[in-house]
Amino acid sequence: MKSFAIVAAALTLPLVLLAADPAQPSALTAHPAQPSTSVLVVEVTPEHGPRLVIPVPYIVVRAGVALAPRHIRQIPVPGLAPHMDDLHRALATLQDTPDGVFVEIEGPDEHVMVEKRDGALRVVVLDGDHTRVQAVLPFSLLASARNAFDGETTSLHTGALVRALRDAPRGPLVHLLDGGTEVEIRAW
Amino acid sequence: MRARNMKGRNMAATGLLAASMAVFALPALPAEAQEAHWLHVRVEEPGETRVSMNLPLALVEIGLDMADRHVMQGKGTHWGPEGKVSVADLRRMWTELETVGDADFVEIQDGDTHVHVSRRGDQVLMRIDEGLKTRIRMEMPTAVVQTMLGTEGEELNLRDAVRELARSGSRDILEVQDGETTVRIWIGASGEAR
Repeated sequence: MKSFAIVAAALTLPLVLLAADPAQPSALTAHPAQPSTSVLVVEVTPEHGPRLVIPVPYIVVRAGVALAPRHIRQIPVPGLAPHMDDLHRALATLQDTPDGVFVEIEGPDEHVMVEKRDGALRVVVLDGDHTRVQAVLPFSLLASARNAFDGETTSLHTGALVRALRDAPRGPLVHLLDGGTEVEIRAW
Repeated sequence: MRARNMKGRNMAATGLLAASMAVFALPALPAEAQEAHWLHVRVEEPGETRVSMNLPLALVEIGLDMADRHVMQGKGTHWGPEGKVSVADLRRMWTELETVGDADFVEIQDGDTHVHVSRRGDQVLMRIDEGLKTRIRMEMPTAVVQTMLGTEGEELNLRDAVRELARSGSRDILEVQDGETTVRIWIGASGEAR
């Protein structure tokens, strides 16, 4: 009986997840031509101690969010509502803009750069030898993520954000170095 | 009849020649005639900081829109010493100056400080020199100033002014040299800095 319950749960869970937001296209049919993210690899290299590489299956992340309490699934951000139209316009403008460096600040020990390259917005912040932030925000991910904001409840749906991750191209998304600790998140 | 045919053929040939010239002349237009799409800002402090910004003008427009609606919120803009000059005052001043044509609006010589604001053709020019160390040059098409002050009320019409600036083509807007620090703002047709 117990094994039957496990099998039933395993079969119904994907259906529950896909039915969580019927307004959104199914992850299986959204972008059939693009390989979609199936695993998020989190790599942590502490200053001291062993390096950790944690592959997190995408479906587990999605299940975790679907089963999370309401305040985690819907984060109220009323301050974002008045800016949404502008953000959509800015995103559309950036998508139409050719590749290039938008902002670059170079100091004796600092370097900040925001550029558009290969369909992604890339942010690099270097502060001396101890702090390094590199973030890659693919436009496909940003375009999907903009649906995460619900104008009626003025809240951000984390489920939709996680669904947007599905559209992220394979490769590094975030790379942080703070002191001696290094964290990298890759979509795979 | 024959003469009329000849005349018609000549007109057709002239039309064809004019059309061909127009087509071949297009790529030869100077870069300044192309609409600008990028705002470039460079700030350089030798040995210290170097800032480089290349922003699409469409993005600048969105930023100005946001600032207008969420930051300014109808507070109005004031200029001059102690903020006593309102946009309405500037508009009245501009209406008077616009009719004058080429003229020197302001000329101040105080010690080694020299301020000069003038209009030459369709440009408003500002030059400030303080000794040999500080040098400011600004050039702005009159159409941009006119557009900026073109609406009613206490707000500057910055969004349409940016569009007008884009139409005016690639150009330098502001150059500041203060000691070793230099600031340059210009607009161009491409995202590449020149």
